[in-house]
Amino acid sequence: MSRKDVFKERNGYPVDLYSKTERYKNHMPCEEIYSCGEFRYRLTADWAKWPEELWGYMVSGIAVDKEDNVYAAMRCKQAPILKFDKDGNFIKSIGSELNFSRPHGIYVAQDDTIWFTDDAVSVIWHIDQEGKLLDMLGNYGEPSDTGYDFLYVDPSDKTEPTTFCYVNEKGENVMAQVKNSAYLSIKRMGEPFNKPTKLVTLPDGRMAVSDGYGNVAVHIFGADKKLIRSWGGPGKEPGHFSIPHALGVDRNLHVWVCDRENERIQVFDLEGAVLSIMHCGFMPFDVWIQEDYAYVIEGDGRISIFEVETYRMVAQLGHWQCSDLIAHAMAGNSRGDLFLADLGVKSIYKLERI
Amino acid sequence: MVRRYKYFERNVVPALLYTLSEDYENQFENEITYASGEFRYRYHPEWVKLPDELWGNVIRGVACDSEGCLYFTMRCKEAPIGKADQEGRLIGTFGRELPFERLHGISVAEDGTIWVADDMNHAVFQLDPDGKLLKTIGHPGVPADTLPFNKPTKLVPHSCGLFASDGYGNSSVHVFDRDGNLLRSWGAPGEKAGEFDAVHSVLIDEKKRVWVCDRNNDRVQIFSMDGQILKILEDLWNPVDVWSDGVYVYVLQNEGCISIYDMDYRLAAELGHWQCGNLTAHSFTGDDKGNLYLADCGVKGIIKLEKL
Repeated sequence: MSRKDVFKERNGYPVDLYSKTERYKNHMPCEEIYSCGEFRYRLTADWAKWPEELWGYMVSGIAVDKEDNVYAAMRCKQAPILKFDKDGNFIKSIGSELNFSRPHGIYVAQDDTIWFTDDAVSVIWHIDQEGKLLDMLGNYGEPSDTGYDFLYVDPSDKTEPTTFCYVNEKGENVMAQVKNSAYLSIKRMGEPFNKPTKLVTLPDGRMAVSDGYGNVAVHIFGADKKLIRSWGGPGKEPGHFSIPHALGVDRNLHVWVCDRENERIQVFDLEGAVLSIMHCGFMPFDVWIQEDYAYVIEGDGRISIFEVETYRMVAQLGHWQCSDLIAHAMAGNSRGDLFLADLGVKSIYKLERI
Repeated sequence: MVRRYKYFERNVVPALLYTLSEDYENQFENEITYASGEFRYRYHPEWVKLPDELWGNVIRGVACDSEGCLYFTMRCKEAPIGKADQEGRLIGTFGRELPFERLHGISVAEDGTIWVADDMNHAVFQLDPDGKLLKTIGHPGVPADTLPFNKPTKLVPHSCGLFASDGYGNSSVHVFDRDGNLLRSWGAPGEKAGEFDAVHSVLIDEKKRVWVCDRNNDRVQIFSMDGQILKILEDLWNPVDVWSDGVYVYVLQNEGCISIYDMDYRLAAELGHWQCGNLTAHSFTGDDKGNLYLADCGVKGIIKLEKL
């Protein structure tokens, strides 16, 4: 039995008690430092300076452009993308006039155009800095055929259901109780897309996509946006996936995929050959790669750092259940600072490299 | 509107994800430190190593004896009280045969006796260091109306008397003599000065002032020995426990922050921040070196904040 199950069984409930006060800023500053070997960071809680009316939406994705501006993808119709400068000052919101459903991963390309996946309607949006729609990959509201049934609950699944918002055939938002094991209903790899999770671009304009909650594939697209190849399949075999949740491309043009429910990172070449498989902690949510290192954020509160050339883990920040590092997405800037998007009330945390 | 409620309203569900994995040991040593003002600490989660059969029981109270050993209360019938040495090694558990229902706060007196508040049982018990029952205050199993006790949270022994916070079901501070006779009580339900909403812990400082965690009012109220109000520290984040090293008073807040005050009520430091889950805890104590020990009520067990 896992530790979580033991805890729950013995206590009946997860303990969660909170204050009623309006205050959420400290009266005195506190410095919180994370270090492991040469990797040292100072944490800034609640880093982004939110317009009050936009605070509190789930931030599901985060990206940094080449000027070190930070973009947050939010589950909020009127402001799906927020742009902050490198110091956290709010610049603008982007995309309010587009009919986004539920943004997931976000990526800013070299040309400053923005790509983000909309998992609820199984498309990937491509927009410019003004929010003008440049292109849309996939068929809006038409997930590919993989056998995926998001209401499926595996008999072994003892987790609590979560409330999930999906778009039905009439285009309406509907709430449903779903469980994590729904991915086990996937029978086969499908075409692009079934709830895609993230897109990143390669220097030559090609694109790599992790797809997704309802599919078990990585797709490579050409700069002309035509599909070049896909690989994957359901399950634990090498090269197969159980929720490919995010991906990154290193300087060798190798693709690092967060194979979330298999608790591993798989690295591929662009042909889809497996180069390495690294087991890591619970739910690797996102990966960000800069030069020599790949940084993986895990769902139980750790960041694992791998060497790009050797695939060796070289450092870990945080601990199991280190709540301050629990995040759903992560990206870094040119000086190696990390930004964590929490999906919870913490919104965006910054880990400043020191 | 409070941010949390706002968040809940906007998203319907708070997103909390926890591991199902067995993999919880780090492969690499790493360090987390907190610093504020003059205070610096190194963070050690799961400081007390519990065997598998005990791991995962909610630890609700923690206290430190004069040798630096830790005593802690667990929500576990078979092992209601645990004892660990200075290195976090479990020495033993006791109290299994005693009539406990659900232990809450724990204190160690100067003479080495242990006081535990049993909130489900509406009583406070004194044990010797070997776990033998010495005294019972209150009527086990019988909640009182305003008298002691109705879900008491902690009893703190002091040379001037025994001070009890009472509690989840009452709104009082009670003072007893050494034999357990009630001397006086104060408090009433409400939000006004001198009133309480969940009296969660109590401390008598060097100046013989009584600090009371008025938990659900998000404040600490400070009284004279006879219950005259001296000061209210407002706008805290769900204060659950209070401890003093004789120079400073430390207030643990369940939202994830420890505020440190000097004896003139001036804030000297604040560790953590709003929603700092690493420091979220239900009670805490300190040793004579200034190390702090937090009982998490969750999967982190007992956290040590090693004074640097």
